[in-house]
Amino acid sequence: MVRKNETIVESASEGTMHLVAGNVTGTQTLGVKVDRSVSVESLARSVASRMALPGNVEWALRDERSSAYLRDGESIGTQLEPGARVTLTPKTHLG
Amino acid sequence: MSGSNPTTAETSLSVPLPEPTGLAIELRLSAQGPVAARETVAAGDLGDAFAEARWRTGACRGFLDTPPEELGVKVSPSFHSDDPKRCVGFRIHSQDPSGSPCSSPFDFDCLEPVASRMAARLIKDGTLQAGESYFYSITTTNDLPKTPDEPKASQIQFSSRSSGLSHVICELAPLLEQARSVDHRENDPRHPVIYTKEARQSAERIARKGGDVRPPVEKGGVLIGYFGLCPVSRRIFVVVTDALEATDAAEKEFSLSFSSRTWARIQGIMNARREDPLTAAHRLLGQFHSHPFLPDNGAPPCEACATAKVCGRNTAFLSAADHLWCRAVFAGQPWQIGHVFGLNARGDDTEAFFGQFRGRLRPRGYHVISGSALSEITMKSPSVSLPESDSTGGPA
Repeated sequence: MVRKNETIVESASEGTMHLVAGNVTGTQTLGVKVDRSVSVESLARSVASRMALPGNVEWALRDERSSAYLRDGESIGTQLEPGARVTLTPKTHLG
Repeated sequence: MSGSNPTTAETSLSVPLPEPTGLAIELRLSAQGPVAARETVAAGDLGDAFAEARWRTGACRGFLDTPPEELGVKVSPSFHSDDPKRCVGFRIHSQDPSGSPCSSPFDFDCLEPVASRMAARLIKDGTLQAGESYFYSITTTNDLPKTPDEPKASQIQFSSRSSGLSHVICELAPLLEQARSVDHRENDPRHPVIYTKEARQSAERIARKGGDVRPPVEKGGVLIGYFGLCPVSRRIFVVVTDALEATDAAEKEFSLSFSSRTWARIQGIMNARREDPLTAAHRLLGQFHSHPFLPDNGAPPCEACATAKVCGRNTAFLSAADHLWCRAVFAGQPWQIGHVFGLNARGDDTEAFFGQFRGRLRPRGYHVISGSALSEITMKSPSVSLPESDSTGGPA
């Protein structure tokens, strides 16, 4: 925490936050309590594992509010608000 | 609305999966060559097989109100009838909510993803060349699988809810009487798939639009519908009501990639459907797309072409990329279907329809009925059964 002009500013990467994660078809929904410092990539891998999704696929997390993909290498805490809903999306294609 | 509500159960842990599975995959560089790699099959590798076994044990016996995850499963290897030491597959044993047992057989080809993963490692270390053939077989083992690296348990905690499967209660016999069969075999043990004529035509029209541009591009989308449960036979069936185009997708000559906007639109539509009592049981059922290219890189038709009734060379198949995409998107959903629209060597339109069977997407047939006939039959006794919604947004 940083004291700045008597205002306490919480670091976006400290502490935990709660999220809701779902798969693209909506058949699985998980409540997630995660350290804010965890990277998007790590969280995506963990959620995929918990949902028993294929391990040989790379996964992206999409913020349902903005519809945008989260940046893999950066922490969850810097990209999402507590209570956010994310969707686990495979980085694969039909062909 | 009548019909029982499927139960919703809080589960911080589901019924534990059998670990170890007792199975392993052996990979060889030639059919009779030495084992180049060996890997124990983890419970996670059998996810689709477990889901299919639970589907057969629960939903296919009319027990849609029981969360599939609550049905315990047990794995046992299967051996060749003439050679008891030769493992050829496995069985998954389960019990339905009434206590009746169910045993589902699986061939080892459903473990192709494990072999593929092993091959990728061999390519990386130079033992196998990219594109080189390999052979794999299944065997038994007492070894434990490797544990994947994951963040520390304290950093991420999960909670989940499992629930029954939403469905529409409707008699099946009148639907089949009105429907026309396409490639359906009478002895097919799988649940029937009923496609409205409008959805089927829409899927083909959307998919084949890609052939109107030069060079042609793959186009496609998702198939939407619901589960039906016949109150007379207690048989489950799948009804496909819509083909939704994948807009804002990256459409290329040999690939179709859904973007974040593609998924956002699909999910927005599905969320809206679940809010509407008339479509609350709707779910994503599968995908459709085109292969708008000629087989064998456009090689001319064979000598038999002039006299053969049917051209066997065509591009209506599921590629390795298609299998991977379907496994990723529809993991644990054994009701998934796929429709591919391609061309044969003569340049004629051809198609193939797929459903999961014994752990892998395989060709299957379906029945076509007009949307008006479907509405007339289903509206005679409208009844939708939905799981209780939960605070996390509700299951499909």
